[in-house]
Amino acid sequence: MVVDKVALKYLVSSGMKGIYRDPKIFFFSLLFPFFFLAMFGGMSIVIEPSEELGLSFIEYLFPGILIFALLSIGFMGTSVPLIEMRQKGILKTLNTTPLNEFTFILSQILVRLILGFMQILIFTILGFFMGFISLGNVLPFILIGLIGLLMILTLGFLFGGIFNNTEVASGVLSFGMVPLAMLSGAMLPLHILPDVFDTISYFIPFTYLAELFHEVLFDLDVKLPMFGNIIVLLVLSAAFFLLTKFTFRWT
Amino acid sequence: MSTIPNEEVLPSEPSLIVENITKKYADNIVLDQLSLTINQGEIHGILGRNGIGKTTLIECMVGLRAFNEGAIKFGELDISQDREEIIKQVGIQPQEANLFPRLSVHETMQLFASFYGEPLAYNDIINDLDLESIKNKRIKSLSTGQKQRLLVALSLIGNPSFIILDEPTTGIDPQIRQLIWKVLRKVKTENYSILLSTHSMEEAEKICDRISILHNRKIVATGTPKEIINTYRKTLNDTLEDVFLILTGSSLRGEID
Repeated sequence: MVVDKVALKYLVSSGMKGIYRDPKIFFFSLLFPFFFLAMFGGMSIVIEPSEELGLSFIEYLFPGILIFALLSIGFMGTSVPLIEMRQKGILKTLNTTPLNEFTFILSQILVRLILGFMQILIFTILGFFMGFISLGNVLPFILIGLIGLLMILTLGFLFGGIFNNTEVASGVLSFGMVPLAMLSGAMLPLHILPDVFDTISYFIPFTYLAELFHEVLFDLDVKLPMFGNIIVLLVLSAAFFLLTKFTFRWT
Repeated sequence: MSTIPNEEVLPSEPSLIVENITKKYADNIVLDQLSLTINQGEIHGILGRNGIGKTTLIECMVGLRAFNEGAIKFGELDISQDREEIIKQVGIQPQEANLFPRLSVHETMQLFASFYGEPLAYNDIINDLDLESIKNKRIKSLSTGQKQRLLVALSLIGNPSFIILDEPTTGIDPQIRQLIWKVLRKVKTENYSILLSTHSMEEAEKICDRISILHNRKIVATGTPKEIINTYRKTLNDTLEDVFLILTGSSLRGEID
């Protein structure tokens, strides 16, 4: 696994240009989550705060919407473009050059990390001014966001290798995103659901990210201690990345 | 296969040797014990009908496809074992290749140059292939001819010793075709070896030193265009196209006749 630093630099710069010049990816990856934030913020005005959790509707949802935003970058902004590049033969063209697989994958992850980092920063600023994130929680919030983003991006790459066409991938992934986000506890408190959903949540990678956010921001009761959740997310990222090495195909 | 010796063209050492390769898709044999030699500093054309296996052969040569039997060697290097090394020395223009649609021509050249240790100065290539006026144009808005010129440019950017072009002039106008031919002739004088897949008889006659005709999963003839005409013609007026039809025995010949 040798990284070609010169190629990496140009691939990252080209990738960034590709994203901000593509209105579709730009919208779904960067702007779309803020529509959710505005929508749920509006709903929060009419929905009573939870007495049990001591949180308003939007306050509870806030980290969930960030997870949803990161999922958009991971799935719509990573898996789908990767499949599209393969379908259109762009990856095949790259495979006729000395560019190695590891440098290419790393460059694509870095591009999305930059994009996701921007997203996390915007959410941090919004959360801070909305009173959901205290000054002391700013750094932990950003770090948790980045660890979660890494896991989501590697998963996005894994899906990009598994699916063969963009239509199926966007259908399955967009259909799966909302229920997965809900069942992970990111959008919905799990204790209001039957016990079976709590068991299912252990098998959803985003659960551990939602738990971290809830623990840090709201001091809620969670399944694992903070470092336990961090370790799970890092192990999952490593596992997804290694699996990507097997599923990635140029053609 | 019939190989016609030619003292004027053949003496240089081979830079690519394809030895008895067989390629199957499931039970369908596309290339059967096919052999071919490309010499240093020559432009070698592979002629064949559409769908006959020219692209499959090229993709096997550069390791984009695995083959079932045989060996492909660039000098001492074997594509099955040394692809990483070979690909640094071989410039490839794949057929119907696609590029990042939102990058400009200049940005694409810059990106591809970054993949090679010692790339050529891409401004020279931009000038040679008359890409200057479109260097800030995005890939998605290029015409077919502009894209083909860019793809040829990209095959040269790594300063390769061997260039493989898969139908570089298909579907483009005569002016651009002439320009690409001019560049290929210039490149050839610098002792590059060029393998050119084409179904244009005119292209084969005008720029190829030698040609090989692919038919029925094998190379059925190899030689200079003139030698192939002289060897296989039925009448004195037969052209390369006539000879091609004789060798490939297509029903189309009957229709034309």
